[in-house]
Amino acid sequence: MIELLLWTQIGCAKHKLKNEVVPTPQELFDTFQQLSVKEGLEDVDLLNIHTVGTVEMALMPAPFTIDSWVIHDKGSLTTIEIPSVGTIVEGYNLKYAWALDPTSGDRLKSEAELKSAVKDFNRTFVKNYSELYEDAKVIGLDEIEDQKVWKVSAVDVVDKTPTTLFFSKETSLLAGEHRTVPQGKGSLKMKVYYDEYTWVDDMYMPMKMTIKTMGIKQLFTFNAVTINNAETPDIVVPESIKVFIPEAVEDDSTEAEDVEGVEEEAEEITETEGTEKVEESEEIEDIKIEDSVE
Amino acid sequence: MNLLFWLACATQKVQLETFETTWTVINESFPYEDFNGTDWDIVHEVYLPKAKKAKTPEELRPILNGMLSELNVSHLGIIPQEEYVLLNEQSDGEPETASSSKDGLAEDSTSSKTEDVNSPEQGWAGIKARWIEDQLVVTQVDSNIVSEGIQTGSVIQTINGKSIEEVASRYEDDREQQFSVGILAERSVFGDVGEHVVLEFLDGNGQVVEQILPFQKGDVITSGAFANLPATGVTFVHEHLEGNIDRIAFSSFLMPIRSPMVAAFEEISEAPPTGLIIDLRGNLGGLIALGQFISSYLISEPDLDLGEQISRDSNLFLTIHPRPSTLIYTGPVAILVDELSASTSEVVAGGLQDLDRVSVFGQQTAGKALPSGIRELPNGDRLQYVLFDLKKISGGRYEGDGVIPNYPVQRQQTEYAKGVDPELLAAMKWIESMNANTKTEDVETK
Repeated sequence: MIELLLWTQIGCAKHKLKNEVVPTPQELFDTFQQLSVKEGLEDVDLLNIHTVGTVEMALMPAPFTIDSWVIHDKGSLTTIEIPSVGTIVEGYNLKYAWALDPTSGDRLKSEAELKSAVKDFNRTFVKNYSELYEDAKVIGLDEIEDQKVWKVSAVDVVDKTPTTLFFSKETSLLAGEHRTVPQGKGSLKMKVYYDEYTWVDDMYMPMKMTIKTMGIKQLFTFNAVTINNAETPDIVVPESIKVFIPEAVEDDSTEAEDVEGVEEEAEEITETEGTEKVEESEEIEDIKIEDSVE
Repeated sequence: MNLLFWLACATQKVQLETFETTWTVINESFPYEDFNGTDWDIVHEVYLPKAKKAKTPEELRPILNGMLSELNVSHLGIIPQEEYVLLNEQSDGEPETASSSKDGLAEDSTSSKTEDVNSPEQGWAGIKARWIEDQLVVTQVDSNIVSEGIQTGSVIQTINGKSIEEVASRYEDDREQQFSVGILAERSVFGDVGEHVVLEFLDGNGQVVEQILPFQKGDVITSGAFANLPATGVTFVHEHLEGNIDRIAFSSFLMPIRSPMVAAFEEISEAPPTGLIIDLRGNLGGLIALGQFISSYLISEPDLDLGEQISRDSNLFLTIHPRPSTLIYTGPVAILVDELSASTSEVVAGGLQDLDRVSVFGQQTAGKALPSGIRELPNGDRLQYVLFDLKKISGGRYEGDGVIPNYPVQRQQTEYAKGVDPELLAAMKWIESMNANTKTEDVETK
């Protein structure tokens, strides 16, 4: 989830909106999208993104390290090292999602957790915020983290949860989001703020992210971000998770082949049994909102 | 003179800022918007004039603690700066990461910390004591550590010169008295190896005897500082009792218990006992996720919860993620609790009780189950504040009422003097009866 909160926040200052006029949500989204890539480029096809950074968190004596891959044709893999606790790994291979958790135990994700993993993965590759939100309305000017922002209320197209987006009046960049994140049977309200936008190749991305939730503040600092890497890791179901998948032993041989090609992977997904969850993922991937913005 | 006046004003201003910060943190983060029926705005009005007069942190602390006590919950209070700094100095250290898994469940990339070698090595004096029948009775003696002198049933008069009677007299509420005296005894018998505790107790002839008990490493694992907890001595015991019953006991839900817990359940899965006793007496809690983890060895059905975690901006369910079926123990399980079982212990005992998976034996638990955070205040003191509340699946809260055992057990000093552990005995008898019933049912079925 963590890595995916980040990677559609892109843009630069050159296309910013005129300050005097109240923009429409679509104008804010479009401007932000234009800011996402270098001048002269209409778009950048994001194939993968690798992020390495640290997380400082209240109550914890030392920062965590975070290493995250999101790969369009393979899935996502996030590794978080927490001092005094151990290593947490969250994986999603376009079919299964899992967590290796040294505290509550390793688990195969299902139901709401799987849906959430799929949604977060898909979110990474969304280019315009109008694909993510519907019923968007500009509420007016507000101030967050010492900057003037346009406040936009909207509804998440997948979860139907309310979200508030904040676009900087000065730069037109996304400055923050107040989101409701489904967590299993419950939910979590998060205040997310973005800072220190920097060019990563042709894309403009925030290098700092602050999350405030449950009375705890987490500061993410991304030290190394690379996109469209030629070499990417394979994302395979770990042995400790296979015990939870009855057909995993049979799948072992096919899985290795699957990661070789996108088309084969897609076929594998649509043809595999028990595809309710997989269909869910495709459903989410296919969502296109045409009239979502007022 | 002017400078002194300016300094006095500045110091007073900081105390006022500290007051406002404290009130605001609670205002924004207390899990319930109705503040448990307290009008938090009125509380501000009542305490503000008092805070305006405070010139030093020492003067402000009782005012802030008074204000916080209006909410009538645990895990809320002011920690003096000096105390907090001392706590951190004692517990500072680089953590060590070590591989944890013996069950093959976490081999790939999961590891957990087992022991912190940089924190002072922790030890145990070899005894446990509880407030029973208005006296501090020794309820357990580890003969590997204490070979002579104090015995189960001995009545402790003083700990490090502190009169137990005097400490107990500070509390009017019976539960609070039982908890506070018990916690004093529990904390006094753990400490840095090389240090000791001095006890005065009544011997069998009613004579007061002084005994020095050094803290010994024994089986104690040193858990490094974690979150707002200092370095702590942690114990984990897995033993086989009469009647092919296994007992697992551990002193807290901290990372060092994970590996031995995995090993214990591996052993249990290879040779299942007729019953399992999970002894959470004196266990003050720790990581809730480890509570979910131990439960995951007892529950095979997916998507069941131990409870619900509520904060102003979230509701999260403490879901149990069952281990592979070969590792799940399906026999009868008894959980032992007492007045010092708190927080995660209460969630595990109460959650599994709600799920009808275990029977709980012993005493009503502490009812102190509010995860908390610590925040620095403008005057340097720290505010411990509630982050979220824990609700039972069956309704109600863990805070306050705690967990009521299915089988409350009466404790008497005379029984401990005979070497009997009444709570353990009751659980063992229950397991025997459960197995006898099962056999009868089997015969009838045949």
